[in-house]
Amino acid sequence: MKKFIVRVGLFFAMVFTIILALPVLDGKKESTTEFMAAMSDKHERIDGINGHKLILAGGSNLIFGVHSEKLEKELKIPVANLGLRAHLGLNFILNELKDVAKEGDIVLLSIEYFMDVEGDENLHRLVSYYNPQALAYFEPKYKSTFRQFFEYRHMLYKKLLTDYMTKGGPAYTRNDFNQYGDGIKHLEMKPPGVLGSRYVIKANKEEEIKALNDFQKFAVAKGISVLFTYSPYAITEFATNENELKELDSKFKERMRIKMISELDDFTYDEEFFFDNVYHLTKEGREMHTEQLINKLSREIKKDELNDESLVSTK
Amino acid sequence: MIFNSLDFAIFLPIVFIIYWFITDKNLSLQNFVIVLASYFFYGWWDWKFLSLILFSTVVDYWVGIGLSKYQGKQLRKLLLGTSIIVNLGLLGFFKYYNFFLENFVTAFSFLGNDIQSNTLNIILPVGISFYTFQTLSYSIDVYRKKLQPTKDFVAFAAFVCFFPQLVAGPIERATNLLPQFYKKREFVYDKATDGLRQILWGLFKKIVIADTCATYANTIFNNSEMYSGSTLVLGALFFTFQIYGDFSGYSDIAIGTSRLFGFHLNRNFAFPYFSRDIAEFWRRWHISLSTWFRDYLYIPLGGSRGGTWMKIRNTFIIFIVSGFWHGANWTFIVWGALNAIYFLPLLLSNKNRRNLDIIGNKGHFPTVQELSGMFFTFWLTVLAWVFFRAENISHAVSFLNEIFSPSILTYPEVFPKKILVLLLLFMILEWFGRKCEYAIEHIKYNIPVYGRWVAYCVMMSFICYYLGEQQQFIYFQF
Repeated sequence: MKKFIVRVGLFFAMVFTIILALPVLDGKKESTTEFMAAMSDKHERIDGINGHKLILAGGSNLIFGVHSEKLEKELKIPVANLGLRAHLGLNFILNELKDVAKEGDIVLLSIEYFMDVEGDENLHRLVSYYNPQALAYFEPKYKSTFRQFFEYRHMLYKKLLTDYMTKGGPAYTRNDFNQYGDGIKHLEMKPPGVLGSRYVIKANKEEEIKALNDFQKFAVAKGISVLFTYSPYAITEFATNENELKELDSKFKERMRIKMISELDDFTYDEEFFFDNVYHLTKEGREMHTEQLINKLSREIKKDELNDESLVSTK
Repeated sequence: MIFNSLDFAIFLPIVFIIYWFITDKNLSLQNFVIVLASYFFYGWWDWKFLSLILFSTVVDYWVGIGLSKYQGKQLRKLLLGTSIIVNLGLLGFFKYYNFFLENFVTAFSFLGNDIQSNTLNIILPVGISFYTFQTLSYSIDVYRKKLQPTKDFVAFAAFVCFFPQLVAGPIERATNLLPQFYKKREFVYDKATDGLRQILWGLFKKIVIADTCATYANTIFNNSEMYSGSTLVLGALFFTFQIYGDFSGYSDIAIGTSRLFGFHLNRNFAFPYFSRDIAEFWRRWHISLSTWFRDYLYIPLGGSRGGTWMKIRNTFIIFIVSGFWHGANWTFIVWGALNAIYFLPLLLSNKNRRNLDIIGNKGHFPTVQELSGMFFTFWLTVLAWVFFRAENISHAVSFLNEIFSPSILTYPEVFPKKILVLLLLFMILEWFGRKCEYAIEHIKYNIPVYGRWVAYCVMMSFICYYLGEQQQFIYFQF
């Protein structure tokens, strides 16, 4: 029995050491393939722009659905696409904006319907592993359970092996972004044929509205203009969640103090214009969405009142 | 609690330590620990359904006592009938109530009589098909006087709820498992390491093979109308490996876990995809269920002793019931009937027992005849699995229609080469281990200790790499 326990203990110690320590031993924390590592590239883009700019912030709908170069040419303002993952949560995204947005900038928030305030803690830790600056964008939960600890180390282990073995999956690697921060790999790819992220939408977004209003206060104080838009969405999913979405929209209109530039169904499209989930547009969908955005933004950006306090008070 | 979870990784060593150290190898205490651990294991999923297990346990325990006490034929039949009605009644209500009701209503509507029906929102208790069959085997064997009824309630409760095989088998016979609860159990190093090795292999089959194949099988089956015949063939192939890796992986983990506690469970899979005909396949696939139906249904019906029509009738009954055991859906019934059709020519031509040895027994490779038989049998099972996996009969028919259309000659829309290579490597490993109980058993004889450790670490690395969101075992739903 003693021999058995010693040997089994030794074996599992070896295995867990490999899994838990590999990410630590791999000290460079740089990845040419990891999707989440692209945050640093996006920040570099923002830092490289002198003067006012349009920052697109939100989840991955922005990666797949915006042609930033076209936006930049039409609106005559430098564009930086900060979109990464909706599962990072609203608080994380807004804290990131507080860090990178400067006076005179215009922020366009394009938020997926399912996005919550908190986000996924493991994803926070993963993104901050590759981008240490992100540690300031969320509150680490020091009461992490053993399970969370294990799952996080396990996730890092998988990511590292994926880096070395497969060089990332198609359309989801760091290399698949252009200089603006848009995803470009999917533009030439055939859609996989199945649309994911078909979440049931809940109209209860009190915390989200509060977070957005707090951010608006911060932005006004700092001289940043903020606009809000709904993200692209498959029309079939829109129909499925229509009642909740309408309730959500009326709550936003009633209580949110950020200016909304789109109506609820402005960016709903047929499923054929979506790539791999109900928020990710194909090349054709991206062009349509960008045209509509240009239309709406050109009206807003020309208005001088964007930085005006009166905008806040009218809401 | 499922085997491929962190919960089980914590639960197992704790139970192991209590079982071997804290009980001081006291048999009654060890059995009691098994009962408590098993109820905890099951209650982790839903503690409310523990009452069903307890009810089934109490009924069959008293039926056993009654059968030993009373010798009158009528009374003994009544006692056996009670056990059968209680166990099949539980199974019937939880698993088949809505199916029968819906089909009853459909049949009456077809005849022009519209009747109102209220289906119930019934949750299927995990493992009910397994533990009810296990307790039934006890009552029947006691009735047939093949087994002395137990008077040790704790040992009997441990036999019914033994956690390694409680929710997805193997369905153990009382004649094999129950006596093991009476005997003093000693820790044997070789048995324990063998158990761990089998657990490792089971996890590999579940996490690396089955769960990976599941991703592709689900995508293709759920969107089959979008794909060409060549992709659908791949979908069926992925499901073929998914169900094998999933269920045989579970069985390996169950058998290996039992070994850690000094128990021996019967083998449930014997490399079925290397079978040379369908009869051999059914001797190698889900052995504990096939033999259960053989002993408690097929043979009492007359087996293959009667005339041709009796053989045909009994074959269809056993395969259709076996299919229906898997779930309340016509797809399972058709799957069973299809296997009966595959099997009958062999039975009627007396060729059903010609392949009783291991394929390629004399060397490393099969003969051309063996290879062709294996190839043919494999693809027959692949086609049958389409019914098993499909949502309904029309889904299965349209799936097969597309497979047998010219689009089978087009390049598949989904073609994950790496996964196909992984499956090929897996089958090579299985082939070289086909003479053992499980594929990597032989490495304890052929590879020195340091080499084995490297192999285990590589397998663990694969398991950890492929370990994602915990996927339920398919057979939990049966």
